[in-house]
Amino acid sequence: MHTANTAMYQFRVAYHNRQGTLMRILAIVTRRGLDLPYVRAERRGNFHVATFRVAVNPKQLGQLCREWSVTPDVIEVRQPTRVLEAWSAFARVQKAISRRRRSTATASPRQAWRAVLARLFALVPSR
Amino acid sequence: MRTGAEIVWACLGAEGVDTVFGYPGGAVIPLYDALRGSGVRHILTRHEQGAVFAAEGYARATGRVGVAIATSGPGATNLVTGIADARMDSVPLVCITGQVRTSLIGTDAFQETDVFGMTLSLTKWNRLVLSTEEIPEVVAEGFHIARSGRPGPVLLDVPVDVLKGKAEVQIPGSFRVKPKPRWPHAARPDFPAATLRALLQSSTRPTALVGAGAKLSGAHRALERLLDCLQIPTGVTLHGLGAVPYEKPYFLGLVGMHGSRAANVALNEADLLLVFGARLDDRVTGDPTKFAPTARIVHLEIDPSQLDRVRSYELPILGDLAETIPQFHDAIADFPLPDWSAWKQAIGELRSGERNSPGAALPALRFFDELYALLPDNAIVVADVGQHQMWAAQRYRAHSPRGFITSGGLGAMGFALPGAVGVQLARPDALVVCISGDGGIQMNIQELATVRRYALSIKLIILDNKFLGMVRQWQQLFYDRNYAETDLSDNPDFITLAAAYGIQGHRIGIDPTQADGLSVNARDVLKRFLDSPDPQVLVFDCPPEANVFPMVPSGAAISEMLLEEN
Repeated sequence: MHTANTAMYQFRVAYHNRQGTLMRILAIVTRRGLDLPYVRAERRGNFHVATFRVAVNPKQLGQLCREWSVTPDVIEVRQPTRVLEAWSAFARVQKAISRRRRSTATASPRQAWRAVLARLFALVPSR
Repeated sequence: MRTGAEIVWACLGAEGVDTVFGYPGGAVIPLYDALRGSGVRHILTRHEQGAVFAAEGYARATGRVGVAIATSGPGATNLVTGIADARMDSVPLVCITGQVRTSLIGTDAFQETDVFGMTLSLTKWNRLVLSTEEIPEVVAEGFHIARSGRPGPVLLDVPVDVLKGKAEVQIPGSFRVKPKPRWPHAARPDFPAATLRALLQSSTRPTALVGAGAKLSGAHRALERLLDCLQIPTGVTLHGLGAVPYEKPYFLGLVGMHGSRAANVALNEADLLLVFGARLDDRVTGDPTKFAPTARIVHLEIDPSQLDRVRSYELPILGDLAETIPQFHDAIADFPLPDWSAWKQAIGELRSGERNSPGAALPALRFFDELYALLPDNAIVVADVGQHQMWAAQRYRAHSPRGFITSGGLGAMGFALPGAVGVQLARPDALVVCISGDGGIQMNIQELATVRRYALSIKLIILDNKFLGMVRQWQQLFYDRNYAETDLSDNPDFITLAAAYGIQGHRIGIDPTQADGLSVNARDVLKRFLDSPDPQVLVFDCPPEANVFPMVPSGAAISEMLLEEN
């Protein structure tokens, strides 16, 4: 949930993929009632990396990173990246699509969705 | 070749475990079958929650890892409160639960629960053991994690077929310690001596706050030397009690919700707050936005996840207090400290002039004063949760680093009696005084059977006010005396109940005609009670509407204290 001083951040946590480690990492987010709109976990050589986006306030940002850093089997907590702009753009495009849908159905839903994704990924900083 | 159960016992022995607390059940029968000859003493409690609290008591009294054993399903779920308690209060604990056989996992089999999933967010680490061969590695890693860094609970869930299976293994098991990442904002390669000196130099109102970390790290002596050097007003958290000798002129007592006025004023007015191993939880800070509003905080802490939870810090000093406190002391050894006499005098006058009107609580406070006056130096007080806990903490007058034990962070009623069982088994030489209320004692009263079974000379005090006292106090003060469901006037006769367990009982009443409100024979009864070599129960008939003051209403700043009812 977005509030006045929250911003969307992308986090990356490298970990040994042992029983429950990913769940433990995610539970640190979910116990705060924060939504996880995007989660991806993948193997990178000898370890795994979880990438996810969470809207947090500055205090939560530090708390999450510090709690992950002391979680057993976590190898590295990378500096989070702010992705507010991308998500604002996402919201703007969504609004525009719904307006357009209401007026004239010029693009198919599939085309519109592709446009949203194209705009979104163009704005998300890649690391 | 050894069975999984034999391997578990051998691994526990290799970790130095001499005592475990548990309760048998279907999924752990192989473990109990292999108990004889293992060299480990098993203490049978009468409920799994009793076992885990007793294991916590053992760990809190010794600093060693406590071990609790329970069967699958309900046995495992009954451990959960104790696991949460150990997490909150940094208690090294390893719980071993039985599980249905591996082929049945996930089928909702009889007495199957996902205890691994349930305890993911409560434990430091947990593991569902899937083969007999991996038991030594898992046990070794579990004990390492439980006792390293900020201690905490670990759960090992072992299916019954893994316990029955046979394997050739090396004991103790080996595992690779993985280096931990360091949070860049907090990590400092060197001790920040210059920054610390500058903060001290610019401060006019420095104050120290001491938490459990000072005791857990064994740094209380080094801390005492440092505070003797600084001579600044010092408050302690509930778990910090005993870390600072109460007779020191700078000692202000308990801080927070039921803290002393002087301690809370010192925190509120401080311009520099030195925090030694405290989490700064809401019972200490009150409204976090109003906590120590003018203070810059130097936070000495072993666990980076505890930094900046409530208040941002000026200077984090991460590390074991056993190392960072001596470094702190070295940093100021040849440094001329500013003259803080005006500040110290102002707080000292507040401390010496602290005279709250105890009102109906007078007999309870005098009772604790009489009790503490009779306790020897090696006494260990184990308090439950509620009004009696706060009175016991407010009047505590010893400075044994492991002399005051209670469930602080979780506030789990029912902790004290089984906790005292663990403490007494860990410290058979010590006088263990268990203080509970009429509500809390009935949550684990079945452990009187454990006290009797092992002839533990625990002295159990029940403050019987015929109410859930602390909840009733809140109802009185903030809910217009709507005493909804807090009336316990139909309590059993605890002395008769103790007799049913073969334990002698005593009673101390109140006498309004006496200056202190206690019956005239109170001291004699207390003395007889404490001098007995056997387990004893003492019921103190506490006035029903006695309240704990000072009190900071929930959500208020710690400067907004209620000092008395009117």
